[in-house]
Amino acid sequence: MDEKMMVDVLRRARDVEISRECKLSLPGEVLVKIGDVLNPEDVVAQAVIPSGLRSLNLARGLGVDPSEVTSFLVQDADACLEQGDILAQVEGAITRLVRMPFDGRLIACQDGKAQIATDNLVIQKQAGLMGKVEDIIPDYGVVISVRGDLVQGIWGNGRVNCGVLHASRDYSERLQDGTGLDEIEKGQVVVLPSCLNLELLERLEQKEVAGLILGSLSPGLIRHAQDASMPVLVLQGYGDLPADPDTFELLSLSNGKLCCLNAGSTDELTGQRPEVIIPNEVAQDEPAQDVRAQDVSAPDEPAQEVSAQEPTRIGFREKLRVGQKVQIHSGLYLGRTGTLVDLPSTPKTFESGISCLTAQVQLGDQETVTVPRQNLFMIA
Amino acid sequence: MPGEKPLSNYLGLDIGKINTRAAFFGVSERKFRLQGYGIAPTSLGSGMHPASGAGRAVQVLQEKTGIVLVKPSEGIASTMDSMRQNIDQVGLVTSVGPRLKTSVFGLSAQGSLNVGRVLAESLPLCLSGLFGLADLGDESGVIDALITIQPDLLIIAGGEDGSAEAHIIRWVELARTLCLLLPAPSRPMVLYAGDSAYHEMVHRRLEPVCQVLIAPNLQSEYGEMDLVPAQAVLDPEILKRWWQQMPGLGDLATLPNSKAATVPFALGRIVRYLSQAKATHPATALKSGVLAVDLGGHSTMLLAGMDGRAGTVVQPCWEGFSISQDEALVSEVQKWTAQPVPLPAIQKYLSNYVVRPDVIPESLDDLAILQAWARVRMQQSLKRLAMNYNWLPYQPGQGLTAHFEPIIASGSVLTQAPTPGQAMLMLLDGLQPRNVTTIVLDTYHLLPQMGLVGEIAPILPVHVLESDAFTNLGTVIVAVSDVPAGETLLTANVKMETGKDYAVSIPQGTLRRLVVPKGVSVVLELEPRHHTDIGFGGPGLGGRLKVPSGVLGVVIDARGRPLRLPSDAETRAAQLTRWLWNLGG
Repeated sequence: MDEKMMVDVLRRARDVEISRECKLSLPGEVLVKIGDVLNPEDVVAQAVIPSGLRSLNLARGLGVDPSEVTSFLVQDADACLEQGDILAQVEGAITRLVRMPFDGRLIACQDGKAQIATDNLVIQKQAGLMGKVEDIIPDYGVVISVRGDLVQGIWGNGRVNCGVLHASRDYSERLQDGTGLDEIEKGQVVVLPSCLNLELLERLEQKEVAGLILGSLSPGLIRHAQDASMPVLVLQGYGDLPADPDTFELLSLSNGKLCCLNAGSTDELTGQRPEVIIPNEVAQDEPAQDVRAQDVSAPDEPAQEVSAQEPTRIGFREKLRVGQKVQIHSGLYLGRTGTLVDLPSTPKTFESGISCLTAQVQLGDQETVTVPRQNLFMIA
Repeated sequence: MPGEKPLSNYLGLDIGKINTRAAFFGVSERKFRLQGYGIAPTSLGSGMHPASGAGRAVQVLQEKTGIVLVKPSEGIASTMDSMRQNIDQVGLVTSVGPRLKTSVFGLSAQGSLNVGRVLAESLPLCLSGLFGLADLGDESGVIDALITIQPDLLIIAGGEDGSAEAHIIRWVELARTLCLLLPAPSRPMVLYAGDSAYHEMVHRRLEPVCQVLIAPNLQSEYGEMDLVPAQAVLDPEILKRWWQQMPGLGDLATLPNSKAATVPFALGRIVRYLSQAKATHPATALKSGVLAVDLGGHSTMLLAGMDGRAGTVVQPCWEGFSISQDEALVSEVQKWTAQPVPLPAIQKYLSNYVVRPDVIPESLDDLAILQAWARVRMQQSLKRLAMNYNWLPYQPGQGLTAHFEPIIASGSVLTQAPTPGQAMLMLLDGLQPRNVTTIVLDTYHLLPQMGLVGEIAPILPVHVLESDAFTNLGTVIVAVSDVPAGETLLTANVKMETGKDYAVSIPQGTLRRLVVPKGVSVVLELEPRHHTDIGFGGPGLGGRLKVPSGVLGVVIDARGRPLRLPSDAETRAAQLTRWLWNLGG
């Protein structure tokens, strides 16, 4: 068994069933139910955290020692109170009391002081995806399923948005030289082979596009893309790289359709990658392949067991096989895609002096190149 | 049970973000030896079982060695059963989990806040907020900031023991308030490592609302920092969080005959042990320490031990894309690139490297950038280590100013360098050691295992460290002098066992290699001139040195401290290449 044959996988496929977890980072309330049809902007769950903390000196107000204050409280912790409600009271010849000077929630009382939350921080989780609620994750969120096209990239700037895909190739060329910008409309997700100058990035941002899908990005623009208000997804790599015709063909076929761009970061633990999902407009009857970031094991291979045969998948890595499409992530052919035609059994020594097992990849122009196996992404 | 019979074998599993390694140690000729080693990709992704990657690494080990620990076709459940039955002890070290978001409450910036930060930087924790005395003026603001951060861990530090610093009480109350505001599953665990007078109060106030960890004061007296007890309290809790996120990993660690630790914690333990052994060595005349560096795919770990003290710094290789977006850093990488590569090409390579730090450099340019980046990583981590531990003898730009031996290095950029000379030069340029030292390559990443197993079988690391499981890259003699470039500063008379003695003169500004045939040792008579310091007790002092054979033999580094590189890029690249050729290419 050659363990070096396992490589990272990028999913790029048409008409697949896609499931994605959508959940809060802390427990709250799930606002939807199984079977609900969601739009990207729908809030699926929310958590409410008390905030705007203010301190009330009860000891001073009551005229007692701070250590005695808790015994004079007339409200329980966590009580929601209105302005004027009595908070603490000392009975006696002269009754002393402290009323709430504002609305709030009693959080705690210590050292003679009451901590009052005067506001709430509402944390909401939007679906970010068109689809149907497949499952509920109690207190946290949902699993959303949708059928459509899926294109994963190597980097995203952490933002999420939806819009109409603008992915015409000839248009892209005109946009690159600046002549096609007028055709851009607010709210579109624009597909470009590359973005190599800041002016283009800034003008697209000014146009308030909903997102940007790039084959490649100039390394000098990473920081700008990181700070951009719209999601930016990079498919192939950094530099001036030739566009991958297959991926751009796939995106062009969906030109004008609504797409959901999740430019989140890669998470090895969950298998999540930055991606664009283009939901099918009309439900299809034929069965589709199931693609889940949360469960990427093959359906016929239990994730919990090492099978007797060589396993074909390890999380978001898969075993290289001749005939598969791959994307090269090093050297002269960085970002190029092609078909794996051979996995030679003897190592090759590269110009760097490093000797390693290689893969032979036939590029789109029929040129066959030899690269280290380890430097490939599998396109699946 | 392991405690009832002597340990006869040990399986070390090392689960990293990219690879999982399995190393099997058994007894041969009454000594523990590394008997087999296997490596496989780490199985990651929700629903995936990390034990499957470990199982594959064990199977690779079996295929290579013929040793049978588990049946080749076993599933995870049976693999773990086999481990229980066939292996005395299983050790698991890991760096696979996410760094826990950590906020620190303390008093002064130079005191407890600093100590809390140093603690956070010694473990796989991600520092997300330091709050000191000034912040107590706006407790509501602190609470809002913490709600945004949602820390996994709060460290409360401050107050010398017995000082009864009242502000500590306010921090404890603020932690309690934060916990009352947050839903129970999202509350941070709290480590209290301040004035011991408040232990009971901390328990009473915080235990009802969150998980509380108590450790001895990080700084019981001003200037006296002791992180080890707090690290020992925190490390298992970090692992527990990782187990929760990767249940399969926890299954491995809960085998009845297993022990587990994070990689930096285990490394810290062995470096501390080695430095203690040196400190008590009667033959050691000079103040001397031990250094370990691990250039992982995602983080750099640098550890130093001296006089029984040890310091660790864990630095992520990048935050976002900082390495490629920091122009000064890219320029620094260019400065150490042994090819005339323009800045944009370096920026492009580093940007793509962040996406996949496991890629193999194909061209000379790519290799030169990667190796330059390795030098800069070491220099940065050394600077950080010195900032965190003021006992570390270090001067910016000059590197280490005291004796550290051995220097144990790991990480694929070093251990899989095309030539041993490249690994040696990266380490010399990155760490700039002084005096006489031995450079050891930890090709199989065994050092963390030594730290883990040392607790239950102290003799195992002793046997393995002196075996060929670690690669002796060579002995380095650093000669430092003020004489002009080209002037002889040291004469080395080489006494061979074969009788073929010879002498070499070392000019200022040069790097020389003396080949020592494999399996033999040589004696060097070192005669420094013009007050040259080679670490024999002072400038101008020399002596005899017995040197074992290493891969590169003896390397004499007379390039000066700090290392000076030509300002012109072409000349600089040529200089670096020349140094490399002097070490055999």
